[in-house]
Amino acid sequence: MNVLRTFLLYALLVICSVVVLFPIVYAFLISFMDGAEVLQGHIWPQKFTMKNYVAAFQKVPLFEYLFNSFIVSFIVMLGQLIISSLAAFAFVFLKFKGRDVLFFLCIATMLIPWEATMIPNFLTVQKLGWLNSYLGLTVPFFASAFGIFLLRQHFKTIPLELYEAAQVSGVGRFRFFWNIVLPLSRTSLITLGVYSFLTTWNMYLWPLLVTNNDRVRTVQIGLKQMQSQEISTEWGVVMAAVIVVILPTLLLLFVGQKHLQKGLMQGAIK
Amino acid sequence: MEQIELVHVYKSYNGKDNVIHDLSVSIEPGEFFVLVGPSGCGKSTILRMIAGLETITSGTLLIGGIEVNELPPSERNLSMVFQNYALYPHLTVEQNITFGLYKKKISKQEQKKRCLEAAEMLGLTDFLKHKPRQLSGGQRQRVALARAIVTHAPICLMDEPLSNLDAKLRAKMRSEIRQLQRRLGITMIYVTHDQVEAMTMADRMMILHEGRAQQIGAPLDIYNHPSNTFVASFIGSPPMNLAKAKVLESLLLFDNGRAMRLHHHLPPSTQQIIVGVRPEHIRLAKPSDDHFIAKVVNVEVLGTETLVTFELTKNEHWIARWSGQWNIHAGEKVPLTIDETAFLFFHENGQRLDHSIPSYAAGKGEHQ
Repeated sequence: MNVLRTFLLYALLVICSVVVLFPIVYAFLISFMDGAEVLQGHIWPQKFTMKNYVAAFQKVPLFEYLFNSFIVSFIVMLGQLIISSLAAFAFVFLKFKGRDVLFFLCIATMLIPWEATMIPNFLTVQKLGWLNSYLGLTVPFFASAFGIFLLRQHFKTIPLELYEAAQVSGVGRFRFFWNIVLPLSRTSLITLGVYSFLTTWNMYLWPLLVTNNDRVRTVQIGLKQMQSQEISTEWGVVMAAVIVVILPTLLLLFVGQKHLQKGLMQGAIK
Repeated sequence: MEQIELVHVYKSYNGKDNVIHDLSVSIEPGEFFVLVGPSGCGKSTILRMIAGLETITSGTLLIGGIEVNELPPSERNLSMVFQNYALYPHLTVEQNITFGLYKKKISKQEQKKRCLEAAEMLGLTDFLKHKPRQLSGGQRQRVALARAIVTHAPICLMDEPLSNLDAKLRAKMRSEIRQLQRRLGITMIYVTHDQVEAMTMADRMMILHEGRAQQIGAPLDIYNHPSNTFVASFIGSPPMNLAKAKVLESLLLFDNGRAMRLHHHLPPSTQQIIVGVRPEHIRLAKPSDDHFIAKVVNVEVLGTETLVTFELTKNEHWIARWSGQWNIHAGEKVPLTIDETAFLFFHENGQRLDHSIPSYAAGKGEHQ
């Protein structure tokens, strides 16, 4: 009975992972095929070729795109962490009139789809002259209701007595925030950091809108360009580029997850 | 050392119901002052108002003669120990102790010196590099104390600091805190719900009930002269025996026809009153004594003393406390006597009936 259950469970897991992983594995395999092979519909390349990878870096300035993506994602991550943590601190530890109303208003903005605010945002960025700059790509994403919510929930688990003890001993708010609240919330900060880095890395529509030259464009647009620049798309090259682009994502998830587990364990033992 | 004074202080959270009613008290410099009362009586609220963590709805709080109602906690020059210690879990003991010192413009060397001094005083020297979670409850408690004393603040507030410790450790910390306070000469305001802590530690104490001060005074004064039935039953363990009685000339009539004769220590009122007697004042009668016979309901032998629960009337059980070990069993009938100077009389509404009997003072000395 028990063996059967385990068997079924694992069978299900294997099927699910095959379904989920197949596209990625297939993309990985295509990246080693030449054009003819792709069109023949082979799943396993007959001979592995690195030509596609070389071509990917030659056809579009992939390095530049990667660099841009990295810069933009990093700035957004940093901006979100700073602004969300400061806002969450105010929502938890400072007492002021209308605090909760303001917080719910802030949460309510999560109901507005990002696309709906795209045009006003675009006009603002345009008026500020931020088109084709890192500023235009990053600043609109600094304020994140989700980030504020996530950190507020974590900050709320910090005993209020710690804040009161700090107040009594004359420790300033910022020092308390920096030396006590942030170190105690490392887990949530890493979660939010990974999340915001990845969402920014995968962003497509906004960079497409506010950039029109290679100097600041991000990788996702680069990928799209590869498909349209040629009359017939060379799928091998595109897939090679895709693999290059998702590598940092996977790496970050991997590292981040390890950190997350560590953080969660610490909390449990304490 | 500074005096703390509360003048007609009220506190209300919702603007309608007062949690603290018209509280006026003056706490002397260097005094160990205990706020004691059952849960929810407002004692922590008072402490937090003094600390500046709660606003004062009306009234004045003076520290060292200066009104501090609007002053933030950090400028009141006091330290505080919290019930759950409020240690920063990710900092070492040393960092915990010195964390609050930077604001006071104290050099690193002086910080280190004070930290070592406090650690030594509290036996924490070996643990300075440990994190709070590696410490036992008593050690954490000491870290919290050390953090309070390194500031060299003249006033220290403590909010039930011992309630998370086991009984043995609590007794030990009780005397340690008391000694520390004496040595440093700081003014201590100490909140507790435990009347034993209050009795053993306080220079003076205030008993609170439902946001009102019931009585302020030295522990023994309060023990011997409780101002109402609440104080009488709250202070002392087991509590004071109380029973309703009618006064008929020199007789006290209890329900179910039990009567006791008094010779010269008469209540000043002749109506229905409440009679109170401390358990240690109920003795086994000698043949010559005026006595009454009561049925024993329960006996608890504690080694040094024996608690005998007996039937005063059908529904009312009183407890007598005799020192030593007594071989008495439930169901036995025993002759008991009460020194009549030990009787306290309260009005039906609970207030102590005023009386002054010269023999009372003598009686008090006898029982101490």
